[in-house]
Amino acid sequence: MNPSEYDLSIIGSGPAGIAAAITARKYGLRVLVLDEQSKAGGQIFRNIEGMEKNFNSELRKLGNEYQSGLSLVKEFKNCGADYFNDRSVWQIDADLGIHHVSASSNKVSSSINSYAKTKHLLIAVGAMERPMPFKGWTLPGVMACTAVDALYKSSGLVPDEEVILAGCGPLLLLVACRLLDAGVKITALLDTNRRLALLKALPYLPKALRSIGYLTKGMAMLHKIRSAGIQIYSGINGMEALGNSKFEKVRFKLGEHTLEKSSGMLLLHNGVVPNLQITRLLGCEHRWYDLQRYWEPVHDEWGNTSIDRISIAGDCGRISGASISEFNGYVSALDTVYKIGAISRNERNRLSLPYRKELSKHKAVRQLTMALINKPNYSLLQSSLKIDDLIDPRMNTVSSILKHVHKGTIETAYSILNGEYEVIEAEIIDTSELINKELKNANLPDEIRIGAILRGKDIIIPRSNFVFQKDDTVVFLAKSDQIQIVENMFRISAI
Amino acid sequence: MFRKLYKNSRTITIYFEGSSIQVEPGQTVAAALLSKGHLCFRNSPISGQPRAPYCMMGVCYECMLEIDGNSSQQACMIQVSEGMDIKIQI
Repeated sequence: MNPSEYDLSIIGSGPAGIAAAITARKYGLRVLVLDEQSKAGGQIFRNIEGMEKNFNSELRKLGNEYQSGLSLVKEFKNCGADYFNDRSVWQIDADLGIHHVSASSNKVSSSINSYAKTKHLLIAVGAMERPMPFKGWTLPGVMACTAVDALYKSSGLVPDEEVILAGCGPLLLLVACRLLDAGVKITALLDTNRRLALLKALPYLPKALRSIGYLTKGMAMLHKIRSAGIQIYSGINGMEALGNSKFEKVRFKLGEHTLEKSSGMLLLHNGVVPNLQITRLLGCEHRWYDLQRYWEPVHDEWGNTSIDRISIAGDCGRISGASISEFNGYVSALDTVYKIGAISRNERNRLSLPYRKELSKHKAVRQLTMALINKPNYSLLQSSLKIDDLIDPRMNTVSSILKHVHKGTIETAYSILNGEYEVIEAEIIDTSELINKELKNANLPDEIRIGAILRGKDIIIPRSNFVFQKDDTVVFLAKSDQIQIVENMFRISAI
Repeated sequence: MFRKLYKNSRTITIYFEGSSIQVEPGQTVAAALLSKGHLCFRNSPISGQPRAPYCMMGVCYECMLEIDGNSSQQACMIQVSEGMDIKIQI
């Protein structure tokens, strides 16, 4: 066998892999791209070319971000990289020999077991759904939300019976909206996170979903779900799927009550985690990323792992979405181009600067949120909490709320349980007593619960040893009569 | 189970458990079978419980079928092709 020799081999043709391939080809590297799927684009831009060809109207529904993947995929197809679809990588030798086999059982290709040698390897295999096993989850009719998304994008299939959505995280809302758009009936939405966690997640929706298309539509999504009359159960536990040969109903605990809901399908989503199969098998060093609760390969800003000549880019390094993954791909490829000797170190730094700037800018993007306050006395909080604008939900349409979102200057407060509690988002400014304090020493009143912290692009679910920093955005739940204490905690000296 | 939002006029013939079915090309075996109402793809060799596709992206291995004589194939990763012979594994 006369193995093909490559400068850079890339596993995965999602945004990160595609961007890396395009860049490496620009500097004349010999590039190999292997992907398990039949079409380039990864999960996020799954079947984007097929969509363009056959189902343009559906493509439009998926939003600008999804459509923008089209030009990226097209550029990739023309960049001159050797691209093989339907390939499974089953062995990587210590000298970076890559063994791959057809992922398809197609009679012609099943015998083809290929081998390629490469000087550098980039792993860009993306993310996978965080598995959440519980009794009955293997029943037919219980599926991952991303599976339904894949069926929709690649085959135009949607459930034709009522579904129940369960899990946690903002994507659950996104899936709910997509299904509603497609005319699917949703029986109920079960949030397995702490009580009100869905509401707490709302402030992140615009950011979390920036890469998926429902841009800045957090409120619109909730509005849509609410007006569709879907029952939302937050803080459920003890979930169990029941049925004989197929899912029939879900049983769960809500406080002290045990409830049952019947439906045709149960769709699960608990966020995504990096797909670590390859980096684990290669023996790359991994670390626990406590903020998002998953293991990730240790890597530097260029994507270099602990193993020489092996890099990562995109969500398989850290979950950050399509656009960040794409920039990771450019930066990592430029580093490889430098290592191959096609450009100097200075050129690498100069050429990657725009992307690295974008990456740091992305980190610094301020959360685009809004204030929804339905009690006049809370308007007093406006200046002290640095809330830029207040919106009365009774007087506003979704479109006018979105207008505020686009301005991107508003902090958040949600009123819940008829005004008994408030979910408030506030930025820690430099006079706050919370700075450099650990959560456990912050003397939080019992009626105040910190939901999450936004630090740069990271969403942190704080533990007791979490240390507050200046510019952290804190999302918390407070009983209305504790608002004064909150105000003091985030004390803002006379402006 | 599932319904199609848009139709492709072209179809191909595949065989599932010996019966021919007309499905649209350009989709995976798993999607094609789901679109025709076939939900149970296999039974757990240990408990005998029915299993169906779960992740549709090659991660969970719940959709394994015998395809064109090759056993334990991931139905969600393989495109349908004319005359494909698909069987449930024992």
